[in-house]
Parts: sequence; C-alpha cells; structure tokens
Amino acid sequence: MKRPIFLLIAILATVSVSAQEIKTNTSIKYSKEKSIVQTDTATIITTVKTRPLFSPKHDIRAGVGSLGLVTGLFLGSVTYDHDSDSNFREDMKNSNTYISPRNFVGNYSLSYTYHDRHWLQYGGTLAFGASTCRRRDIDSGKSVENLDYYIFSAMPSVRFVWFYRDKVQLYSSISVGVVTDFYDLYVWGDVALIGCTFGRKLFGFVELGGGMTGVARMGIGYRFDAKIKK
Amino acid sequence: MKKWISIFTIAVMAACGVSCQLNGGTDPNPERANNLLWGRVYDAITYQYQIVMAIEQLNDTIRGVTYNRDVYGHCHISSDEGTYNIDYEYNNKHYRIETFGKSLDEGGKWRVYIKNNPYADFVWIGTVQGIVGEPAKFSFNYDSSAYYSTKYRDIILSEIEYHYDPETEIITTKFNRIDGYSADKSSELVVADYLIEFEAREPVVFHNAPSNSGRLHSGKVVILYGDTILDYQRELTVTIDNNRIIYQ
Repeated sequence: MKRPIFLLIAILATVSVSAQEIKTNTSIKYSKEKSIVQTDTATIITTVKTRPLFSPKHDIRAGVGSLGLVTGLFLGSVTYDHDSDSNFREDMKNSNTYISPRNFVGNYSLSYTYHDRHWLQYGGTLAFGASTCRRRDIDSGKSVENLDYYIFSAMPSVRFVWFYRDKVQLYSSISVGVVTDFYDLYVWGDVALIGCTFGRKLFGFVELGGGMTGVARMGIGYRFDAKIKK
Repeated sequence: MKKWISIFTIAVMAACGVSCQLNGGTDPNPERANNLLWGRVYDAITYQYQIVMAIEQLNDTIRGVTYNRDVYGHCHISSDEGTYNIDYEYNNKHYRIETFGKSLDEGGKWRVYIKNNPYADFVWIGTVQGIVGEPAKFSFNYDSSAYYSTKYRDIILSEIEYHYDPETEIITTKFNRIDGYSADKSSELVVADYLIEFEAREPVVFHNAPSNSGRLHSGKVVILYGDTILDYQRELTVTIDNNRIIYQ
C-alpha cells in the first residue's frame, strides 16, 4: 500500500520541481545586474545582486498522511484484535460475534504557519488519525460494539526552510505537543525530515518524516501576506 | 474551477491511498461459544472421573477383583487401618479415602480427600455412598471448593456404575446421573459472577480401554450458562456419540 503513496509523492515532487525550472526565468525575484563603467584608466565592473524583498506571510495547510510507526502504535497496527479466553465471561458474551478487519483511514492534519523569515516559520498543527473496527453479530452481521481507535494531537511547530524560491521551498520541521487517544494524554511529536512545497498562493506539499502525521504526507495549503505594520 | 476539481481529485486519491488494513480481525465461529462452554463442563466431569477411577480401583482392591491388564495405570494403593492412600504417579495426584471399615456393596460411606502435591494437606472433596448388594454401583457427591484455592467451584452429584469386559478389556464407567454446577466469583463479596448448571439427560459413559486411560465415549448433557453481572444466558445440549461431539 505504501508503494503507490511514495510513487504519487515522487511524481508530484518531480512535476513541481520541473515546472519550477521552466518558469524560473520569468518568476524569479532576485537577479544579478552587471554594470560596466569605462573610464580613461580603468574599467569598473559592478555586480549587484538583488535579493527578493521578503514579506511575512501566513499559510494554512490541510494534509493527509500514511500510517507511521507512532500512529500505528496508537491505532492498533502492532496488536491483533482477538477474542481470548483470558476472561471467560466476556468471551462467552462475545462468542456469537466476530471482529471485523481493522482499517486505517488516514492521518489528517490542519496547520497554520507564520513565515517570520526566509528560513524560519512557526505555528501549530492539529492532527487526527483513526482506525475503524467493529464487533459484529455472526448471524445478522450488525455492529454490536464500536472498536474504533482515534488519536488527536495538538503541536506547536517550527519549520526551517533551507531552500527558498518563490514557487518551491524545501524545508524540515519539528513539532512537539500533546496527543490523546481519548483515554490518556501523552507528550509526543512529529518530524518532517524533508518537505517540499510547490506553488505560490495556493500550493501543494509533500513531506517525509515520522510522528503523529505519518511517514509520508501530502496536502494543499494557502499562503497570504501578513499585514506589515507601518 | 478546473483547479479545484484537480485539488479535490488529488485529495480523494490521497485519502484513499493512505488507508489500509491493519489486521484481519477474527473469523465468525459459531461453534466457539459451544466449545468454550462444553470445555468447562467437560473439565469438571473428567476431573471427577479421575477421582471415580481411584474409587473404583479401591473398591476392586477390597473386593479382590483382578484384571487381565493393569486397567488403572500408575495408581498405587496403600492402606492404614481403614484409610487408603491412592497415589497417581502419572499426574502426581494423591487421594486418601476413608472407608470406615465398610465396603461399598455393604452400603459403605466413604470420604474422599485430595492433595495436589506432596507438600499440601489433604482436603475433603467428596463423599461416596455405596449400595447394599451392588458391588459396582455408588453415588458420589463432589465439591471442589476445598480443593481449589481460587474462587472457582464445581459441585456435582453423580450416580455411577462400572463394569469390566474381559473380551475387549475395557472398563466402562457409566454416570447414570450427573447433576452439577460450576460457579466462579471475582470476589468474596459476590455470590457468583456466572453459573453453569449441567445435567446428564442420557448416561455419560467413559471407556478405559487398552488404548487409552479413560475417554469420554457417549452421553447427553444439557448445559445452562448464566452470567449474573452481564445478564447473559446461553443454553446448550451436548451429545457425545462414540467420541464425536454434537452441539444442539
């Protein structure tokens, strides 16, 4: 299942980067300007490199992530749903039932980030993951018990952008916060080892990492300028 | 518009792409409850049958009956003034039976004790009542409560007869009556968490054949399970037909 996801991410990343290369001449904000002044005694060559004027921005993102080790721990990928004889009475009561396959339905995240500098962005992420499973009656097939698992996390996050272009950014990020499976509360985090955004205002993103939003994530976001105080 | 359709399509694809099956759940198994329930009753009955074999051997020893083969296996009897110690080497069980000087066919009333290991004390687990003029018939009131250290308890009232067939060399033990219950409680404060009542509708027969040391052969048992806390009941009729189990 993970192979198509990686393939899709790779295609999206490749398409976005190649698109950037084609249009970079017209969209690039900074350039080198070379002026040559000829005097009687010398030739003065002046090169002026103009960096783009950075303006603080906000972005909001919505993404979906694949299963990861951490979310798998919470959502039951490492344990098997089974009926055991450890409690005879429960076992007797459940004996006319069976447990349906447990399905992972995704890690979904919503995040806000403030672009403070070229290289630094910070904000917060809300993530939700779920796996579904039901105990069903053998005869009727009707659900008699809900065995779903859910996790919800809220994490402040910091993003370090190490390749900044107008339409493409490469970055890494780290988030640490609280996670709940609606029974207990834990401190956990999330790391994007490598992430890529492509697009201007409306942009897509892909990430590889680990933690509460899964191993491979992708999604869309919207970027808009922050009002600059005068 | 086109852009948003693309975004929506990709989002749906992504959501579908990440979903996967984590484990396969369990298979529907309608026989499972029956197996579990019958397993409990079977354990109670067969455990009692082991003790019954010790009683039979003592009865045969007192009557001076001998067999072509060693039908009681690794069972040894020693006596001390009307008290007989019966030791099973096979499963390290130790029984003590007090006969009070009367054989079963004289209407003797025996008391049966058990200890699980050499360091434990003997505990009284039942009373055997013989029938005058019936050398191989007796009733047995069995109560496991003194024996089990847990809160699990079996109480069974049985009427038993047995005979030896010299041609097949099989000792057939027939439980003409089995009337009992098993109960378990989670604490001293409650009466019982669940109760299993069982009753033999047809004689329950064990065969102690040369090929085995005692196997359930035939019979019919009705079982009623009731959970006092979870408010759950289940009824089961088990027919044993030539070692084959049939649930109804």
